[in-house]
Amino acid sequence: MTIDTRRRRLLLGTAGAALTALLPLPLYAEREIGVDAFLALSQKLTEKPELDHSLAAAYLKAFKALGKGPALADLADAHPNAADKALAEAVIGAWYTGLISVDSGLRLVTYDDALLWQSMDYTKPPGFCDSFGAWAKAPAG
Amino acid sequence: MSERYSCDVAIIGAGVAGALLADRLAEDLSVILLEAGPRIERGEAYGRFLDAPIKTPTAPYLENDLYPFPRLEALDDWYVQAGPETFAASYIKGVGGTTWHWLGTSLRFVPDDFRLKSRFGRGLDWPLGYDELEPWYAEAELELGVAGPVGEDPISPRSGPYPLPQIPESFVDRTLAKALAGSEWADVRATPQARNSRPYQDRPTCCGSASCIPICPIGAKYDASLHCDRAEAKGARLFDSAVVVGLDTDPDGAITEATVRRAQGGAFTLRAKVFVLAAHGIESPRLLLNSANLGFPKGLANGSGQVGRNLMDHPVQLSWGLSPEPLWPWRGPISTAGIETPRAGDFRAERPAYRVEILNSGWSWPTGAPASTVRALIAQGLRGEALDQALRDRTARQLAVSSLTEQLPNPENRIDLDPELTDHYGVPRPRIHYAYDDYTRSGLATARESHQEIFERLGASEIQHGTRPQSAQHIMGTLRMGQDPTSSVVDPDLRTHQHRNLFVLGSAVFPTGAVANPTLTIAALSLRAAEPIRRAAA
Repeated sequence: MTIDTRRRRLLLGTAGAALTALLPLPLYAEREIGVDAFLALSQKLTEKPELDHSLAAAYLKAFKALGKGPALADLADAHPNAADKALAEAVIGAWYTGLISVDSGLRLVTYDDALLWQSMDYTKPPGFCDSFGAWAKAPAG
Repeated sequence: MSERYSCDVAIIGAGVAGALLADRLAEDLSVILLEAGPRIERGEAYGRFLDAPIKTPTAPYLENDLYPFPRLEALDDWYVQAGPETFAASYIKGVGGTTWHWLGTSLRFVPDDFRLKSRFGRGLDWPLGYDELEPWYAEAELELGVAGPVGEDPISPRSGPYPLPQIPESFVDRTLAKALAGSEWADVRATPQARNSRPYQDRPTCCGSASCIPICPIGAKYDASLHCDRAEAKGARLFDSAVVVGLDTDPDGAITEATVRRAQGGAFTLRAKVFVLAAHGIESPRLLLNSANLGFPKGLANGSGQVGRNLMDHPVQLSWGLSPEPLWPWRGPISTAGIETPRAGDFRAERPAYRVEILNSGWSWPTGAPASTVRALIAQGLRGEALDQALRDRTARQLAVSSLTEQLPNPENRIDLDPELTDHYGVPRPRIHYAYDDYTRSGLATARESHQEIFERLGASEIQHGTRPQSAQHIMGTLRMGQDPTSSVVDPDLRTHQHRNLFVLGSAVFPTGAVANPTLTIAALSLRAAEPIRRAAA
């Protein structure tokens, strides 16, 4: 029995990349956003200074596959835009849940590195071992 | 068709029923076990669980055209729903069957569950009683490794102790029990469950992964791959990815051979002295109906017209609320205690029995928490430290309870063959007709009232009740057992009335469903049937 218990599982699906490749070339240069700028935006929105760079790259890739690159660039530059609030909440929600809403439902970017498991520090994500009987008592601390 | 096999006993379906039987018979009989699904490798299934955006019960298991089953995300890709209600109980295909994603709850029925008609004028009686099944319950508990509390059970009499010490009640259970002390709901009891409280059967002790559904990462929870492995070690031959598409009969009605298609291509025939159908409540009747021939135009074993009828689940009332104090859920097995009191009593003439299951998984079942919780807090404008604290506080106080109610057998609730749609193997897809009657609805309403009182005693806020019944994922009743060949499909030995060498195992044979999770009763009946089946193969 082999069980992968790595804490960091990045699931970079290929569907998004394939979709992007099929899009027609823009007639003018669209505003785009790089990983560093997206990371800085995410840090600002979540009010968390320590976010993971490789996770930022994975979230950004998923958002770009949805065509959200230019809107994220606007958001990073603090351009006023009606969609900003929803997109800002989507970015924060992605970091906390590890999930991004797509047309077909939800896409998983990470499971156990979702920030909500850090907030819920009294437990761990389902599927990872605790210890027998620990659940009978209030958590230590 | 070139390949042919033969054996003493052919078992169709490698779930808990077929696996236990194969293990019992394999020492001295030649046994072939046929499983429509693939072999399930735990690490692979665990990987699919980690990768799934929503961790549904069926998420870890391979489903595709070759291995079709009702995925909970897309039930109707498989079921053809004839209505009026949606039937939402799923199962999987694979070696070990649906025990891969069961919770492990191993309750016995209560004596009155076997005599609903004579005691309460409802449903019908079973052709056997609790006393007759009791020793087989005890054996089933040994085979599955049931961990349960010490002492007498107030509603299901026991001839001996559980094989394993109980699984500790959760902090959720303990806090709720304190709040309910002195009330009608005071008897919060540790749930007997097939989960290791110490190493047993070469399986490890539960590590509290809290993912029993959809998968135990370490095999601390029993699943029937264990008895499949044992049966193979004793000489049984197991074919996975082997789909039985039809059974043939001779002029006397004996089953002569099964036609088997391989998922990867090719086919073979299997001859046996005895055939045992153990493919669960949808696939077993589907195969019998699809095997209709000139001698049996309504399908095999269907002289009573009851094949596929009396489909039952345990319709579930879900309720949830926010405790004033932290309960610290999302730790330990998904449920470790319940309130058994409403499973027995004279009220059953008027309304159904039900069982209150206390959940250790916050609001994940009713709302999709904790993801839904954090999204709501983000929408409220919380950020950073404030968001982290609110999320911790709210999730720690979430409580949900689910009551499983009894659904009476109704011949109009049934599975039959869709007249148009077929699967990859050319077999008609299952069409489901399903409705709730007033008896069930009154049980759901009573459960709702009880939940309200339970939450109020806890001092909970934000109390909510599900407005639609949920499925307990318990498929029962479609090949009912009885003495009378005109009203039932199998006799008390689980032999079909019409075919002397065809037996049926599984919850399909339950005349009524009670409210206990069915697996332990499936196991007890299967172990009890082993001797009649052995004699039939002699």
